[in-house]
Amino acid sequence: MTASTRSRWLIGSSVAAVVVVVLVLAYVLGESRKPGGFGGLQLVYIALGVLIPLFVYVFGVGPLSALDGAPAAEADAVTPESLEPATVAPAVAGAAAEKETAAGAETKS
Amino acid sequence: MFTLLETIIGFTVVMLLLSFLVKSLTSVVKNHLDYYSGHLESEVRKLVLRMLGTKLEDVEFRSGGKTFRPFDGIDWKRLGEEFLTADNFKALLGPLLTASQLDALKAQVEIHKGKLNYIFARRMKNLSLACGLALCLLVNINAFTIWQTLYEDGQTRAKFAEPDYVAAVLERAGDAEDVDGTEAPAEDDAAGDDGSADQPADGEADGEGSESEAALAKEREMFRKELESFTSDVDFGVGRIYDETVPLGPGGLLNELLGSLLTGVLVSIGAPYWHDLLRTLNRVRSDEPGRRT
Repeated sequence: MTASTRSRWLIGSSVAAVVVVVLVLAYVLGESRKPGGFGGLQLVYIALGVLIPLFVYVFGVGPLSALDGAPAAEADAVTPESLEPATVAPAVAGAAAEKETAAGAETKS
Repeated sequence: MFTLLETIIGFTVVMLLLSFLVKSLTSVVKNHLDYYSGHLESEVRKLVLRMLGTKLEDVEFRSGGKTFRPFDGIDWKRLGEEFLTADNFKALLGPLLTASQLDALKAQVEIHKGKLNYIFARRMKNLSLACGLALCLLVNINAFTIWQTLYEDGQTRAKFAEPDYVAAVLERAGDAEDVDGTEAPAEDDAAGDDGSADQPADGEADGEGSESEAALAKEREMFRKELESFTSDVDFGVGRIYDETVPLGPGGLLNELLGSLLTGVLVSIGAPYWHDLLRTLNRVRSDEPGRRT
């Protein structure tokens, strides 16, 4: 199991646990109230109405959207070391040296 | 057959009206949070890292005895896609790039520009889905009830499928597309377009903060008006969950939840889809041999 898969499972199971707790709480709270207000099922519906779009937002647009290959803090995660050696351009110093060598060769020729 | 066609037309009209609402809400959220400038900065960072192997903040070179930091003080919120050009990067990074890097610069910039547009469009589609679900679930707009009411209630069906009303909605949708295409390209992403022209409205404007605040306030007001207009026009299949006189059992909860989820998914497909479908259905109806007049 890769680290990415493990983190997905971890996040998924935490989210599922939170959802279950919130729904049970909503139901119990709704049922324990005096008649006239929202019932348990109505509160469960409202809780789901908040949670479902929230998850779509958090995983599709917000902070955890990078898990799905999308943006957010992706730029911070990229470091020179994380790039494949073949695709890394020469460092500034190296680039400057290369430039000088090329200029020298041109002058000689 | 005709009843079914009119029901489909009425349903499509309701979905189109709802799509406007979701589009409006998505636009409000997007302009509040300004995702585009974050993506733009992220792509520029990656481009610089790839080309020079250094972070954006560390890029510097000496020119005329002075140290020059080309990316210092850039306000990304004021920039749009037009910033990502090979000429701009040649001007900013020129002294640091080798001849081979300069040759590859144009292709690299194009790759990052494509990625910027792709990721932004995808993120906006997800945002549109989240807004659609939030709106339909919290206001409790149930596609099942809407369909059933339109199918069973001839008067309601006649109202929504009436040719003049359909023509007015189609015209409104056409106007909205024109506005999106010319004045506010940032707003059409909610409809699920390719997003290539998507930039924040303030990205290319040189306006002040107060102007963008005013624009946001206007968008919020527009959303509020559209919501009011929608709930007064479509008063069936909306908000049943909040009606204390209607008993709600587990079956009712499931029906409302699934119906609202389905509506949220359907409206986030986008206004252009519903607009095209409605136009096609309207044409089919006018070609129908046994058409009522």
